[in-house]
Formats: sequence, C-alpha cells, structure tokens
Amino acid sequence: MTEFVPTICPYCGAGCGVLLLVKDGKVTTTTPWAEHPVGEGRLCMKGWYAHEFIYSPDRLTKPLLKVGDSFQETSWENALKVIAEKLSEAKAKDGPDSLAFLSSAKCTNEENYLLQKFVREVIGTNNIDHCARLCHASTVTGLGTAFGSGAMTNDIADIPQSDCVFVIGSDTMSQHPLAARRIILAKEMGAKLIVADPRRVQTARFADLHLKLRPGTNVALLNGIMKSILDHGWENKAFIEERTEGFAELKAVLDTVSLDEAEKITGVPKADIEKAAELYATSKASCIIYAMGITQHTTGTNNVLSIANLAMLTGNIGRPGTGVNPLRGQNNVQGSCDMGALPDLLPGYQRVTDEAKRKKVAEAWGLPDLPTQPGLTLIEIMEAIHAGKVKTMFIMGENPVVSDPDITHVEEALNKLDFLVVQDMFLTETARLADVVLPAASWAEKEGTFTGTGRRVQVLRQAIAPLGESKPDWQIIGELARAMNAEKGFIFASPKEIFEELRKVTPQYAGMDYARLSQPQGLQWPCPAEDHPGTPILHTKQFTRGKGKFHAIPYQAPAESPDAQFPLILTTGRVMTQWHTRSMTGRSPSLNAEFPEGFVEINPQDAKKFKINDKGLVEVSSRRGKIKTRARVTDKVVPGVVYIPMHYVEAAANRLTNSRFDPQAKIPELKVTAVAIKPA
Amino acid sequence: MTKCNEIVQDIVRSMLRAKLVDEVVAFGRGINESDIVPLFITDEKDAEKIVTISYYPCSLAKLVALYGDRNKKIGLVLRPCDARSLVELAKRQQVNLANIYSIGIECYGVVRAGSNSHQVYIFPDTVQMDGETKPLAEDVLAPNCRRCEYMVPTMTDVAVRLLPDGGCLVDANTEKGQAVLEAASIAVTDMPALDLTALKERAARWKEKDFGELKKMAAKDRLHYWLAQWEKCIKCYGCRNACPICYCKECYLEPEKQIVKNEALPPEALFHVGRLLHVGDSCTDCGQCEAACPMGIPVSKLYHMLYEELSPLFDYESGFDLATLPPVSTISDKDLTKTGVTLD
Ligand code: SF4
Ligand code: SF4
Ligand code: SF4
Ligand code: SF4
Repeated sequence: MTEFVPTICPYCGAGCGVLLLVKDGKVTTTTPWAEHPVGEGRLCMKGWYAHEFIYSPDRLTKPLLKVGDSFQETSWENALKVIAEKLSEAKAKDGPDSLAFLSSAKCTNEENYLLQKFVREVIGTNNIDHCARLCHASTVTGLGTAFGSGAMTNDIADIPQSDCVFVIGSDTMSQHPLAARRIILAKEMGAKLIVADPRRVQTARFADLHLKLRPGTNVALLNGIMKSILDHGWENKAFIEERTEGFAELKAVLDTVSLDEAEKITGVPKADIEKAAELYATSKASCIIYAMGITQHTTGTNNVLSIANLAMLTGNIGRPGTGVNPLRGQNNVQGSCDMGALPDLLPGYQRVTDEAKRKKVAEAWGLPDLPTQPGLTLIEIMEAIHAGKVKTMFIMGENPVVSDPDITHVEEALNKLDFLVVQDMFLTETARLADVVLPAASWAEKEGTFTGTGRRVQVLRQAIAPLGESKPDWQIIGELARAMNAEKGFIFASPKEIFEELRKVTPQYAGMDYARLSQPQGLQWPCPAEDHPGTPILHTKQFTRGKGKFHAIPYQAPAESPDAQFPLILTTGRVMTQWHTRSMTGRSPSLNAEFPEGFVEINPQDAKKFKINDKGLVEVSSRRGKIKTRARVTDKVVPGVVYIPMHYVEAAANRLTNSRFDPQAKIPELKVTAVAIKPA
Repeated sequence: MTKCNEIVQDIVRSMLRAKLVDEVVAFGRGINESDIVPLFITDEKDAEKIVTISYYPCSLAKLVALYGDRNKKIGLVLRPCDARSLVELAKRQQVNLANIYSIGIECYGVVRAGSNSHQVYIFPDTVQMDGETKPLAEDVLAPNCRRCEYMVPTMTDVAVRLLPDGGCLVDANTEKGQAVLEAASIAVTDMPALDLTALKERAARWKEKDFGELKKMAAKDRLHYWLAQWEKCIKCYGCRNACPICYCKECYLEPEKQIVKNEALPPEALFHVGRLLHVGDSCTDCGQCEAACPMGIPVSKLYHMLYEELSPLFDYESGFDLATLPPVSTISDKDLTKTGVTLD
C-alpha cells in the first residue's frame, strides 16, 4: 500500500505542511503539502529532506541503562522501575525542588502538557523549563508586559500585506525560509524592506536599507529610530492617545537620546537611522519581524520592549500588514510555552503565583493546590546543580551539552548529578551522560499537535509505527507517572484525549478540538469557544492587557565588551541546512552534505590584523574556553565582529559563549561574546 | 462538475475490476474538498475520491517513475503536460509505458496552490469556481499554462474532455485505451476536434509577453535579470525535486559531485545553469519547478525559453514520439556514469 500522509515539518516554527509518502509501512520521501496555508506547496531544503533521519542506524530502539561506564540494553519495565524508584527516593530525601526537568520544543503540545503536569503533580515542583529559554524567553516577558500576550501578533501569510517590512536580528532566508518567501513577495509587490543585522544575510541583498549594527546595540538603534520619528512628528498621536499608556516616560528617555550618539554606539550612519525611521513610520502598514538577534541578549527583554515601543509609537499593530512578529525557532516552541513547560507559568501563561488561576488548574487535575513558588530556569538549574541544590534531572528531547551557553560548565553540572534520565531518539552528547536513556519515537511515528509561530495549532499525523521498542514521549511520561503510582491523571489512550484535557485548562485553546484542527489550516489561538474561528491578528481593537504599555528603555551595553585581551565580538547563528545540535540534520545525509562543518566568518580587515588566512585553521578563545575551526574571510561580517554557527560540537560556539543572562527573561547572551582569534 | 468526476472514477473502477491495472495513480480528495493529493488506488472503493478539478500540484509521472512498481501495471489519470513528461521519462527508461494505462484530461490551464485551489474548473473561455461560472481571466492561470499549446492529450491511451455543462466526452487513442473503455462499457464518443485557434493565440501572446521582453534585452541585461532572480534562491532543490525531467538518482547538482559548491547561499549560477543544460531541450513546460519555488523565481520561464529556442534547431518536440531521443542531454543511465558529459 502506498499513501501520502499529511503532517507538519519537524524543523522550524514556520510550520509548513508536508506529505509523507508511506509505502508498505515505510516512509519513502517528503513532498510539500499544497493545500497547507504556510508553505502552499513549497518547502525549504530541511522540509524536503525531513524524513532522512527517521531510519538512521543511530536510532535508539531499546531503553539503555548505564552500568559502569557503558550502556546496557534493558526492558521498558526495568528502566521505568529504576527511574520511578530514583525519582521517588530523591523526592523523599532532598525534597521535590532537588529535581529538575527539561521539556522540549520539538515535542508535541500533548507531550509538553503531560510532562509539566507530571512535574507539578507527581514530583511537586515548578522546576521545569526548556530551550525556549534560549530563544524567545525575552519575547514572552517583553511582549507579555507591553501587550499582554507574548506571541507573534500577525501571521506569516499576512506579511505580503505590508508596505514596509523591518527585519531585525533574523536571518530569515536561512532560518525561516518560508517566512522569507512572504518577505520577498511583499518586496516584489512594492513594499520597502529594511534589514538590521551585523551580517550581510541573504535577505539583506534585497533590502532598501541594510543597517549593519554592532551586536548588542539594538536598543540604541531602536531609540535612535524613535527619536527621529518624534523629531519629524511621524508618530501616530491618535493611536498613542487612545490605545496606549506610558508614553510620557518613553518620551523622557527619548529626549535624552541623540542620533550622533546612536551612530557612535551602533556603527549605523545617522542618515540611515533617519531613513529607517521615515520608511517605517510613514508607510501605510509596517511590520517588524525579529528573531534571536533581538532576544539572545542580557538586554533581551529591553530589546523586545523597544520593538513594542516602536510599533505602538506609529500605530503599527492590530491591522493587516503590521505587527510585532517574533519568528519562533523550533517547530513547537510556541506550543511548549503555551503548555506551561516553564517554571513560572502554568498552561495558557497563567502565573504559578496567581492563586486563583493556579487553584483552578489544580482543581481541574483533582488536586487541592499546586507548587506555589516559581521554579528554576535552564541556566539557574545548571547553577543549582553546581551549588548542590539540584541532584536529579530528567531531560526530554533536548541536548544542552551543545545548545546551552558555556557548555563546559553544563557538562560539569550534568556529570555532578546523582541521577540523570534522557529521553531521545539518539544517543546525543547529553544522553551519553545519562544513567538511563529512553528511546523516543520520531515525528513520523506519533500523533499530536504543534503550534507554529503564527499561533497556528495543527495536527501532526502518525505515518508509521514507532521503530523498534521506541515510544512516543507522551506514552513514556504516562507510563512513568503510573510507575510512580499516579494512576488517575495519566491514563490516556491517545494524544487526542490529552488535548481534550489540556484545552480545559488552557484558555487560548478552549474552543479547539481535533476535528477542527485537522483541517489543513488548523486554528490560530486565541480560540476561546467551539464556534470561534480562531484569531489571525492579535490586538485589533484593544490589547490583550487593555492598553498597550510603553516602557522607558535606556541603552545598556552588553555584558561583555571587547578589550585588549579579547578584542573581537563573537556573534552566533545558524546555517540553512543544519538544525541546532545536528542530532537530526547531522544524520540526514542530504542536509549534512550542504554544510558539513563549522567555520568562523571574519572580515578581511580583521583577518589581516590577526594574520588569518581564508580556509586556514584558527583558534578562537573567550574567557570560558577555546575552539579550533576554519576561517572564512568575508565582508559578510562587519569589522570587529566574528560569526560562528552554533551547530557543530567539534567547534562548538557554546564553548565560548557567556551564560550571563537577562534579569527578567533569564535568557543568556548568546549573541555577544568577547573573543580573541589567532592562527592555529 | 460531479458528472465528469464520475466518469473518470468509473473508468478507474473498471480498470481495477478488469485487472487491466494493479494500481491507479490520480489526484483525489485529501482532508477536505479543496485538499488535493496524489492517491495510489488499489481498491475500487477509493475511486470515488478522484477529482478532475483544474489543479495539478505535482507530477504524477515522476511519482510513478520514482515510487511505482516497475513490474506492476499502473493506471494514471493525468493532464497533457504530465503525459508528455511521462513520455520523456519513458525515453530515459524511467517508466515502462507498456505497463502504463494513461487517462488524459484535456486541459486549458490549471491554477496554482495558494491562488485558489477550491473547486475550480477551467474551460477554454470560462472558469467555474465553487459552482459559479465566470469569463476566464487569464491571470488566474499558472504562468506555464498561459503559454501552453498542447491542450489535447493525444499521447495518452484514453482522452477525456470535460464540458462546462458537467458532461464529458471520452475517446480512445490506442488499443490499450479501447480495452479500458470496453472494460468500463463506455461508448467511444466521436470527439469533435477542439478549435485550438484561440488557445494557440493565447499561448503565442503570453510567450511574446514572457519571453519577448527578455529576448529584446542585450545579452548582458538578460544575464543580469536571471542573476537577480537567482539571488533569491535558497537552494531548496524544490525545482529539481518537482521536475519530471530531473529523474537522476545521482544528481550533478549535489555537493558530493563537487560541481556546484556547497556552503554557499544563494548557490552559484551553475546550480541553475547546470539544470538548464540537463533539462532545457526536453522541458515540457509543466510548471512544476516554478510552483515549487518558495522564492517565486520564474523557473519554468527560463527552462521553457531555452526549450523554445532549441526545439526548432533540433526539430525536437518533447513529449510525443517515444522513438525520438532528446538531442542535447541524452542522459541515459550509461551516460550518467561518464563524467563531465552534461555540463560542458
Ligand atoms: S520553512 Fe521551516 S517548517 Fe517550512 S519546510 Fe523549512 S524548516 Fe520546515
Ligand atoms: S523544467 Fe520545469 S517546466 Fe520544464 S519540465 Fe521541468 S518542472 Fe516542468
Ligand atoms: S543531474 Fe541534471 S537532469 Fe539529473 S536531476 Fe540533476 S539537474 Fe536534473
Ligand atoms: S525551487 Fe527556487 S529556491 Fe529552490 S532551488 Fe529551485 S530556484 Fe532555488
């Protein structure tokens, strides 16, 4: 039998639809799903080859138990017994807060929901976080405070309606190619395009204006733009008056801003700042698209707040073609946040400290109450392990040993644990450190829902049976809960049943069900009622929090600045065909062959200064470590800045990066590290 | 338009029942009415999903070449451009036409994904969208369809003409076709020849529009036009993956071949030029490459333009006569193992 199974690409948050060709029970290939509203029959290379790792010989097919220094295969029964005992023991001995859990933005909503429920109900702690901390934690905090909702306000499909697209800190053509498609479309339909990025990313080739700012100077740039808008009277006075508050405070800060100073800090000529202000403020509908160039900073929340300021100042929100549009990285990072896989938030962004809301969730779970103290974030968990406070850890589908900042520190931490469980498809760098490894099923082997970056909830369909003895993560969590005697809340026959429960406690999802979600276009949250069509654009009449709130944000320098010893700024990023720590793409031959190894980009000027040859082997070092990699001498990066893609464990940028984080969002500053470079 | 769906469904059911074929590949309903996906039908019961709307999201000929069973008999419901691609694939030994029963649907153009893939039926000068009939506005058609002059499936075993009133005419082009219609107890209609004057005029007009301006440009400017388009390329391989003429198991564009450099985006021009040299002489202007391009690069325009220039030179019309082999890139399996043959 041969059939096409419609499902969702497992890579980026664009969330394109794919058709998996299944022939006699085997996935044969991936093709675009024409009717799907995001890709409309197109995919990027990752999408076209998304099936390649499914049958990788490296797939784990049996639970593994560490005996001495090596792993031995074991039965599910035994593996779960060992884990249940260890977790119960740790909880009894050192208390629930001595355990910490990482959920996964690659897993479905149902799986994230179930894991956070397990952590809060069975373990009794809020120590649950995941890699959203590393990408858009500052979006959640920033947009949450400014607008009342920390998600993309418009939708990818809405971009072509824009007259001016302002892309800041996003290598869209590489990282969200099917969103870039709409940017190019907008441009070809006459929209102006502004790109702010220290590198000449592919999108910048089409820009009317490329602002090559120094990494970490976003607030200075945005304040400069806003200052120029006020100077020219381009602000939208009616919008400010009717729909916002706090303008006076913002204005007070902007009054102290000078464009000459902004030019000095950012490296962007004053005239370009003014031009950007004019294009953005005077177009009929302008939208902002941003990603980790904005969020991964010690001032991440402030960067996001400044973006919100700019949009509100000009009334560019709540209409087609406008909006503040964070492009979420992982396929389901929007969903994993929605589901409350976060230490301070329950499903639907309900604060654990909000007693009424917390008790409501507890009641739905048949419990008197839930843990009341916010738990630890990703970076804090690592600190707490070093401090001896966290001793047991459970990681579902994440690979912090490559993905997190300052990985030497992370490795030391994980090695220090009494007990570590990793649930993954592969024996990743992190899984190697575990005491028990549980084999997880791949995206083609399970059902569930993913929420794409446009808040679009859509159904992932099972195409084949799980390989070997691997199991979908939701089943594993359910079985583990039952092994720990938590029968009641963890018996689910299917993800659909989990969804029926989660929508009762997640207000944004309340009106959704699998029947409606199964349509090619899914549903965009908030969808509060069963007859509600979903919400393509947020904040149309009023903001989720009522009035939009301006914040006064003065510029602050990044945590590390170049000095005599470390004279260059390292900024990290990604390449088109690799995904994060390469546990999937590195095992996809077609994808891996396009960008097989790491490199460092350096401007010819700096190359000359530091005697670096193109393609030559170099050593890059920071206060935390050093790596060897190959140089690419290119004017794609501005002088003073070097760039390393974060994927390659052999030349891991995160050996160098700084785990200093944003005080509110606790997102680390992956985009600015002071480094030195020399021939190796 | 349900009646024409029904006749095609009937034909498919009969082919399966009479064991003329083991499997039928056709477009049909997926999740809902407008979700059109390729179906592999072995059970007569599923024939009722088949639709004949003017929307054709991928090359079924290529699907069969890549994933069809070589020794199975396969029925195919396709449009003329894809039927021509099927012939080209047969020339390249990628399908065995003897084992294929093809049902061709006369076609005056299709729409692209995203434009409006609802219930749309296109006729020579009208269009029916969700039941409503309107005069045909040519810009709803996919760009390659506007240039198309091969509306009639003369190269398939059975030819089906859908009529605006919901009826349809059926004819057999071959003996296999007669066997199919006999099995379905369908009387062969004496199909009146389609008046192609207006449609050929349309094709000429759009060719002039699409190619004329480019041809008028100085060579340097034309190159610039394409270089600017290729700047948008993200090397997704969609154009190659969707193209029925790009059948190679080992493709020259891939990094291992070391012809097109990896680690570079946009890819160098050779990526496009290489494919152009490989398929240009046989391009059937099916438009699948362009429909798959995320960046809106008018890919089929390029390939078709070269084809139009080569076709009279070599007196080669792609997609018809199985015996005439493509002039430039006769890439047989054997040639593929020689190096450098196709890129000089
Ligand atoms: S753009 Fe994102 S979702 Fe779409 S195919 Fe590429 S990786 Fe997958
Ligand atoms: S090059 Fe494009 S138009 Fe020509 S045959 Fe291939 S897919 Fe069709
Ligand atoms: S080798 Fe040439 S003809 Fe074959 S798939 Fe690649 S580009 Fe197409
Ligand atoms: S489909 Fe378009 S973007 Fe993709 S490789 Fe072809 S020309 Fe480039």
